[in-house]
Amino acid sequence: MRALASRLLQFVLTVWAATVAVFALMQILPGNAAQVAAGMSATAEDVARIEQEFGLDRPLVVQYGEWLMGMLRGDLGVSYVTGAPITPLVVDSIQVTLILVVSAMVLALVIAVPLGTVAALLRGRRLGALLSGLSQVGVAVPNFLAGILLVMVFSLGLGWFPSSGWQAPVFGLGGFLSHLVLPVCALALVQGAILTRYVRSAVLEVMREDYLRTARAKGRTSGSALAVHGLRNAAIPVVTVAGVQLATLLIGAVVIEQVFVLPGMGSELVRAVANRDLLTVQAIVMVLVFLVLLLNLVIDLLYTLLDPRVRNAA
Amino acid sequence: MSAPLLSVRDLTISTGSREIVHPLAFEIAPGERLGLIGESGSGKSLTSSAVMGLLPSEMSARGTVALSGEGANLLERSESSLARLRGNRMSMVFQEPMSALNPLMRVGAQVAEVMRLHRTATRDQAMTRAIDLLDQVHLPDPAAAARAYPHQLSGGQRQRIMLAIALANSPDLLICDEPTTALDVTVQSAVLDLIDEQVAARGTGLLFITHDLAVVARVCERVMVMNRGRVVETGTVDQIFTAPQHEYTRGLLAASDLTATDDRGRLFTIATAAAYPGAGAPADAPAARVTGETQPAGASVAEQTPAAEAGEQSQPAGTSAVGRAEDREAGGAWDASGKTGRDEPSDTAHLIEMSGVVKTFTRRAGLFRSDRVEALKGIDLNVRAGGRMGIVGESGSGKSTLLSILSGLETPTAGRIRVGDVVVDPEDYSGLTAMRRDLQIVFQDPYASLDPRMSVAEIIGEPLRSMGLDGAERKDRAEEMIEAVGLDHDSLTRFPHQFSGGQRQRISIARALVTRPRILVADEPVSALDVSVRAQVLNLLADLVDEYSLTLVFVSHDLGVVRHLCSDVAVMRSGEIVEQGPTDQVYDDPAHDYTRALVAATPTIHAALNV
Amino acid sequence: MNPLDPHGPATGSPAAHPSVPPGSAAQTPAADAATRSAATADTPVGRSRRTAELTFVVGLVLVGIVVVLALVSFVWTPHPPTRPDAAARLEGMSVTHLFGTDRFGRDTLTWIMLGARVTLLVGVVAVGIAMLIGVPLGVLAGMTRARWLSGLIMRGNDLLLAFPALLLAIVFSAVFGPGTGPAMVAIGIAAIPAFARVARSGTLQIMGREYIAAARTANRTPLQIAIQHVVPNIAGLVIVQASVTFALSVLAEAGLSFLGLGTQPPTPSWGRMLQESQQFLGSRPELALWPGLFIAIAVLGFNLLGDGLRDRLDPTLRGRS
Repeated sequence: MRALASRLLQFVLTVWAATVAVFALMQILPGNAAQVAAGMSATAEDVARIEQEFGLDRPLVVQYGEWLMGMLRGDLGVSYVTGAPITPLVVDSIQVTLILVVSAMVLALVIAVPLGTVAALLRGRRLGALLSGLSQVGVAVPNFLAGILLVMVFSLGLGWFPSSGWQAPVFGLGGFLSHLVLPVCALALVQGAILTRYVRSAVLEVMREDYLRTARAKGRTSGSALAVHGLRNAAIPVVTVAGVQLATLLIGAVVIEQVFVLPGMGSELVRAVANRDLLTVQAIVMVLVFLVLLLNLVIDLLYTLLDPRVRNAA
Repeated sequence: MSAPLLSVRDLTISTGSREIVHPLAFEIAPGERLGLIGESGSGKSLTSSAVMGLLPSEMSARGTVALSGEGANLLERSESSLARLRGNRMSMVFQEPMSALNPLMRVGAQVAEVMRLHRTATRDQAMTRAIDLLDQVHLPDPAAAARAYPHQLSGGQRQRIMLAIALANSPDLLICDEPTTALDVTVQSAVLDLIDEQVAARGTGLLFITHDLAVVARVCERVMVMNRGRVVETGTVDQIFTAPQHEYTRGLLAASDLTATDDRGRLFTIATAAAYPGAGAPADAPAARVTGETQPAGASVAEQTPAAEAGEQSQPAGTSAVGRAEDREAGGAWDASGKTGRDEPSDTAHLIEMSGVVKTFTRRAGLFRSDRVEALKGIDLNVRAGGRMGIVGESGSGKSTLLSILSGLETPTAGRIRVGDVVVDPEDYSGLTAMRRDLQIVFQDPYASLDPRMSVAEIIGEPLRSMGLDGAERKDRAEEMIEAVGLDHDSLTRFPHQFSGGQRQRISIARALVTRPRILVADEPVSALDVSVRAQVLNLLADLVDEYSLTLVFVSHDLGVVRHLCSDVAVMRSGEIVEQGPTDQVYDDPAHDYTRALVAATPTIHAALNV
Repeated sequence: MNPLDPHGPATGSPAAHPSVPPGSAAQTPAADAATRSAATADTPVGRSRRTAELTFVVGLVLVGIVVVLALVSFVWTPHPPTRPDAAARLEGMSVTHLFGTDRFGRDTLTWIMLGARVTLLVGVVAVGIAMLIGVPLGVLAGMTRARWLSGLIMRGNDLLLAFPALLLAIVFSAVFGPGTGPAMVAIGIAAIPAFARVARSGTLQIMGREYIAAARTANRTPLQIAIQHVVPNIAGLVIVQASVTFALSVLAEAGLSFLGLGTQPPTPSWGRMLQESQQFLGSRPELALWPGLFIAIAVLGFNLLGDGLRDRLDPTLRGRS
């Protein structure tokens, strides 16, 4: 319990440090945000008006404090550029991104666990080498390239799925799914290749363990020893990696959303950057960083749950 | 004679085209206990794995392995039909108890598994039986132990659990592969007693693999000696230990016997084993040597024996040319236990003084909490100039921490250490510089104590760099030292991975002595070495200590080694010195219960044969 | 003490895949396990010595292709890069235009060759930044006896890990404006934790060796020990990490340019070529295939090189004489 409390405290401190880092990063720019928002042709009066309107003329500490307090209330502020509140935008787009990322991870695991295990078992045989080589190549393909290739084949070529766009589930499940298939596959294929390699190495590692030999000495065949004693042990590093990869996927989705023109966080982020809408960038980056940190926390807790050695040490 | 329980014929084990174990044959009768002895690389563990069908996948076995009542050759059986025998009719205990149990599974479930697997018990029965078995292997509070995870238990406890698993289905054959090598002596003794007891109670046949002759003498009736993939000799324990026929067996026996010395007071090596009188020689002789009262009888000159095939062949045994020459001059003025009477300094001033040394480690356990571990609880220890102080203790006794503090690598929490004129203080760099001219260390692990990226010349010369010697001088001194430890000049340009364990320890010794220190501190310098190499390195140490008139501080878990080498001994347990005094006195007439237990638990060939 | 490993510290090799920041959850046992498991991907357990050698050679060849393309582009390109052939727009593969042309009539092979320059430049600068900052920090964290110092370094690492390369690069492009410069600095900064972690875990492992104790009893100063014992012995791990990070940089830069936030026109970059090809997917798919192929070649090459180096540098694979 104490360890849990200390881990939670560490999480809160890291998140706080991240807010400082994100805020500070946005202030590095020479000149100021109002100048940027007002545009190249703005007069000094325009800039001053924007500064006053959004409180940018106040000390940085005050601005930071207000931003932080706002976030604690769930208010990410108002865009200097569009004048619209940022929170609803994030709430809408985060759903798209999360649906994309979570389904991609599930699919990736469905691909990787059996393939990685087989690749480990068949190490040194032709099929094992093939799987291993394929995963190595898969790892080298950027997900946006995978997306483009999928569009070429299944959308432009075969015409099975739409090449871009998004349809919310409320407007029909069929449309929702058919728009989801290609982007999810683009993320999941690459992710599956990465995870296959981790699963393979985790299984290989476990196959070397003394307790697997013990299990065989007890009267298990090598297959049943691996199934009963090995896979659960191999699951620990794989779960950890899958968690870490979920964070990577979250960022990878930024690009995939561009390929398929999906209204997710990534698209909003890229649009905000293009519009030089710094407060929106700041808000979305903070939300993404928070999600990454939250994922790390969840992995740690999950890990403690899975492994009695850590549980008891804690 | 009844049909053998296990019969092995023409067994060869190879990896790819390379044969590692050459055709060998042996039999075990029902209830018989066969010991399999050999040094590292002899193929003894592979042989036992082959019997169980547990060879690593890159190895293959040919020949015949037959278990009574099972008809066909086990080597030709499928994995699944072999699996039905394993854990049921034959079972195995492995060397490394720390990793042999599934870390994610409660211990009771792991014991119960072997019964459920062979359907010798139902689910509920199996759990009850498991607790019962844990009781039989003498685990305190077996019900609680059954609920524990492996990491919550000590090595000895885990080995007991392995034994409970192995014995659960009352197998006909139990194979133990170095089951006590990773354990402390007192724990080893208890585990050996347990194996003894359980095997006897069940009438189980035993194949016991070990490198330790004393252990095999204690547990087994018959012994098989393996060297480089061949069985060189088989016989009863008495035959092998009293009248070994093969040169290698004799060498191994001679090198293992830390109470027997040649006419120079040095241990026998494989090369000098011809002069070894034998462990079972005249009944009074071993006892006499043990008490260190008589000269070893009729030992001939070692060098006459042709080098045996084992050990480090590039090394003439007995080694240090310099040391040897000096010994001859000294006219063999040695007493039997290898302690010299000369070089005794007239003043008995203490060269090393430690008083009230306390070391407390704090380990962080979370953000706000830390655990305190008392590694040393007030150590007082003095070593006089020219003395040979042995420090013995089991793991966790604090002996290594004490050495680190003595050599200024760790800061004591409290207490005072004086070496020569220097009060050791890790904060005081100039003091340490002066002290380190006088005090150098030989470390335990020959594979970790030499920087793999440095040449031997650089390694040996390193201590001289801080003393400001230039390259040429360092080279001269390194050449001198490499010769003193009995290695070729060529060695200087080579890298550590090109040397064997024993050779690396020689390099380590050369590095320690290159600064011409007055004090040599040795931290378990032979515990990682094979028996035959151990004797050579110990002899070298003894030679050099004499030659350079060194004061020796020798830390070891092995009482026999300390007795051979040291004049005084301090016995440590849980951060305290429970007893200290002259070696013979402490060993022969221990004042403290723990010392007594330690001495009793240490297996010796003589004790095992005399029982 | 690491509760996971009864055999001692991890080998400390970095993750096998570039998009996995090795141990993103730094400092936590979970991350340790992840890195450890990644470390063994295709180490001795995974492959034989011969496949290790093959991996290395194939990696070297693929990386070599990219390097040669970039170098040759300085002295020769099939067509002048600055003067597009307006008469030959969106052409397929031909003898004059080996890889075809784009919508402005620019020769694709020429642009691939020029793109290789940017790819390598970003990799070299990013890896250089990450290595020069990360390794000293990691060695310091591993060697210092002051807990607060190593704690501070590693907490800082944790914080930085929350900013994946692509995200940090996007932020930089928002703050400093898009371009190759901010991109490579951002990618480099984001990779610092990976090097710091590898260097620290390697250092911790080395510091536990007895030859360090021997060096200390030989009265060597901490700086001398760091330079003579620690750095040479962790160099292998660092080199492997550099190779893997290089692959990561290639991916990140391509992604960023694909978003239009990386290398800006008129400087050619593979990611941007891929993005521009999107509107011609139906008619001229090879416009996407060529840059895609070369991105994959570069990433695969550096990944394989890293794997191969790891195996080569692993002493357990080298025969002991």
